[in-house]
Amino acid sequence: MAHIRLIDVGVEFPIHNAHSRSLQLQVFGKLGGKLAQHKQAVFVQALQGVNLSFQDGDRIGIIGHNGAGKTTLLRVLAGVYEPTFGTMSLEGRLSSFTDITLGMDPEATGLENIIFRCVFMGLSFLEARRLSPSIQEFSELGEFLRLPVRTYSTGMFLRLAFAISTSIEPDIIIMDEMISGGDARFMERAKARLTSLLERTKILVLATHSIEIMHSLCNKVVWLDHGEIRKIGSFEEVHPLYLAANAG
Amino acid sequence: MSSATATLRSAGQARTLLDYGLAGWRDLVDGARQWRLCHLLATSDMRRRFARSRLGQFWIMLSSAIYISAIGVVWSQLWHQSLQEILPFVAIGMMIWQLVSSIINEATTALPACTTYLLNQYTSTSAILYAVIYRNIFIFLLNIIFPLLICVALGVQFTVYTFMSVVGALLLVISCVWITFVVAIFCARFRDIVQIVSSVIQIVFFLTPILWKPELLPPSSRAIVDWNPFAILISIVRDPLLGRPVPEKYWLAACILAFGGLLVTLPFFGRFRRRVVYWL
Repeated sequence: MAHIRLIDVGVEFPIHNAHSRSLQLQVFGKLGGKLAQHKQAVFVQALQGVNLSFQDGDRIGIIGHNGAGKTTLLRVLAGVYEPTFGTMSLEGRLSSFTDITLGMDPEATGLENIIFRCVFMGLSFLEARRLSPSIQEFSELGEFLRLPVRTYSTGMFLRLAFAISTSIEPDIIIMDEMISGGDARFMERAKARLTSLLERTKILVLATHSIEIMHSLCNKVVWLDHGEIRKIGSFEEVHPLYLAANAG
Repeated sequence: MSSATATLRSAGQARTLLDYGLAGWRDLVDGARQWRLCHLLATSDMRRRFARSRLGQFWIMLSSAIYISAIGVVWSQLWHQSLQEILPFVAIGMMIWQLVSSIINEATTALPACTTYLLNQYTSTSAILYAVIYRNIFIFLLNIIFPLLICVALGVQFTVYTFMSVVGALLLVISCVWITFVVAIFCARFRDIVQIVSSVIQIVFFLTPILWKPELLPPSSRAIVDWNPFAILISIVRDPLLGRPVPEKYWLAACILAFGGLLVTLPFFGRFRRRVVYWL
């Protein structure tokens, strides 16, 4: 049983520009009389009063305009940001596909990178080695796997990253837009592999601007607006309202 | 992939120093559990540094060997001391100093350098900082080979007392752990501190008996050695190795530095370890 629960979660970013980041101003700011009073810290309220509860079988799509807090919410769920307000509980092995090349090293060979990336996703070295043959096969990179990754084209690099990242089976998958890579033929295979992985996973949270993808993958839609939840419901419920709001 | 059942803090809930201390301790343990990640972070940096160079990691040993030999010869002329007397002292001391100073210097930029990791998946702050320490210990172990050979060649006697330097090294590393945490977190928040730290490190180098022997100081200025934590930490590793006596008060001071320092800084670390990602 995997679950994610957010109760009244808020995230506030302090803006540390050269002003407050500099030690000098922190120290001497205490001395000034009038000046210091005006010099308040600036915060950006990225999320506010978010209440969510997801469990097995939930396929959540997050929509909202740029800056609505989608990425921030994904990062809270992934455990990157500890919420400034509220509480969050999460159970299950979680995999975040926000950067599928995380942990890969251009100087190392493709084979080494398979191990590195797997270990970064939380596997042991032994488990990684065991998974390696099937990843090599899916990537179809053949002899190139023995060369340093820096010699790869961007497409080949992404292909490898995709093959590795989709080779594990987490309970919860978090994704910021769909991941893909490679040429047309590979993209077909990649799509099939990803779709089957997303179907097997217990909880999927996906932020995307593509209405078709959301419609086909998600059974629940969360509409974020200025860091607050406007509406949660099925695609058919939320989408028309979202469109109407954007048209107006 | 991370397995987690976590209830994070509620807003406004007053937390005690003990809570923060425990949170800090949990992160230390958590970081140790992510040792695989530490290993990869540390080795990938080494790979970047030495990839495509013919001698690779051997450069670490070679460049410090050249440096030490040069300094040893110049110093023995300058101070009118025999090579036997000055070279092992300077060589071992220099390598220990390099370990400490590069750990602290790298700590200043360690967290911003790992922004992509910190922003894309949960990465415990201590795992990143352990990687800094781990990498430098590895480099140190390569570096120390040449000075040890010099010691053997110049007839330094190894006895049971020599092994006290291993105990000393342990205390040194524990002290480095909390110093790294404090420096890294402050530097992530206040970017000016990066420059301050590197200047302070340079000054400390001259105030610490590394290139000069503490015996040379007049008694009136002994305080700059006896109250210098770096002098103490270096002395407890170097001096047993060379068969030089270490005052008992140094061992006591080193224990206080290592464990007391860790205890005092744990709540600080527990409080800010998860805030770091907001400052990147």
